[in-house]
Amino acid sequence: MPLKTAAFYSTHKIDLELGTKVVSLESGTNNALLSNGTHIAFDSLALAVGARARTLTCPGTNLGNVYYLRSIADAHLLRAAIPNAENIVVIGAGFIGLEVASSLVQQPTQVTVIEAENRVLARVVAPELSRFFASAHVDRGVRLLTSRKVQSLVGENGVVRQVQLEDGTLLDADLVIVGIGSVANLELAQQLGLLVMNGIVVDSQSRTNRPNVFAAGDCALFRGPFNASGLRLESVQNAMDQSRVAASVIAGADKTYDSLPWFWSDQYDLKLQIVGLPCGATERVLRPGTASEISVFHFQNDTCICVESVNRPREHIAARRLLACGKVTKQDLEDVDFDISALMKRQSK
Amino acid sequence: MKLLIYDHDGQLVELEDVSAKTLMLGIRDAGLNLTAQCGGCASCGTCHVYVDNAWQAKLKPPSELEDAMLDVVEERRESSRLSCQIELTKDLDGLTVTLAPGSAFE
Repeated sequence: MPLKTAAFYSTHKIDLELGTKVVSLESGTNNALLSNGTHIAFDSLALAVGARARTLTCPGTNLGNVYYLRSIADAHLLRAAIPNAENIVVIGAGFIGLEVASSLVQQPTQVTVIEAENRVLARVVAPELSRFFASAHVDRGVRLLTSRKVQSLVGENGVVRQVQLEDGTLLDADLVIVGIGSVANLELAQQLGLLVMNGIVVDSQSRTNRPNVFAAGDCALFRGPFNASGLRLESVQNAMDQSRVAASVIAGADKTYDSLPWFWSDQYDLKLQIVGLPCGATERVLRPGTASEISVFHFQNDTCICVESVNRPREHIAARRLLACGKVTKQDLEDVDFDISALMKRQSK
Repeated sequence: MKLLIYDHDGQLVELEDVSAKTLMLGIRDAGLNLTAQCGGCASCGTCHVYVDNAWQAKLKPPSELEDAMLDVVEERRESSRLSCQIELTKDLDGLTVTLAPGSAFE
């Protein structure tokens, strides 16, 4: 699934070396050894090495019919395996796990989702939205088990047959899909002796602690004045905006990364759209709706910092516009009964 | 099928034997400069095109989601559509569109 054609690279004078790995980078030199045996010297280096799926560590993970979903190859393998499955167990109720579960609902299979946390999407949305999505899945026939951990995968003839939970429960499973997060690819950064945490640490110019080395996207942990502990965002928006900043800075421009983060997730006929980040929120306000609509506004000391909404695209767009260009207070929103689209219209007049 | 695309410089590009599922994929697969950041689920508004007058009536009207997303694009017009939401069916052979500003990957 090429995002750009070969012509794009040649037009922009980019030499694309597919099927070639950087074997080693020596700390202190500006030289990379490639898997084809050649060396390449650089003035600047951009690490856009991504992340890989976090793997299960319990017994039985080497059994057949245990899948991860990260690459298109993973997707093809999984798709081919699904029609033969009767009992599918999804481990992890994050975006990957729930999106997979939602796409399996047409299949005549029993789908069970297991989550170690006490709610779905615990890392990414407010509890009200967790409840909303949990109901959405259960109503459509998914069996959802939260606050449960996997003990082991049990197999027969090398193929998974059951999933055993820590509480002793045994679930039939002829197909297991694991979606328990990602791990940044840190190996090259470590060879260079760069500062790494759970990502390659970069500043607001996407620069690592070595001035001519940059990192962007899923592998980068952005530490700015407002997030001292660092933030590794795994999203399309972050990958594109952060790498543009890196490219601009390498090309000599003075650019800083200050894009408003946004995310989405499609599950069944529900479109979750998030703008901003809820970290540091001191209060949240629910704007209830129906079984197919809901939103939550997050505030930090009366300033709106994040809006999570389901099937309210106009609200999401209005929030993206308003949060990006200025301050929206709780009072502003109370004045319009939390109808942020109305607030946008009022402000644009 | 055939697609006629006016690119961001106003150049007409004729695409022959297009077999893509959606207009966005047809344009992108041909290597034209179209951001299409979200990959085709009406989440980002960066595959915005203007549909040639003659073709507008042949398209299904935009969904509420697409309509809302079009509110976020630069220079929305009557003829604005998200190309990812236009399924390439046989009756659209010869579809003519112009890539809108803001949809180019800079």
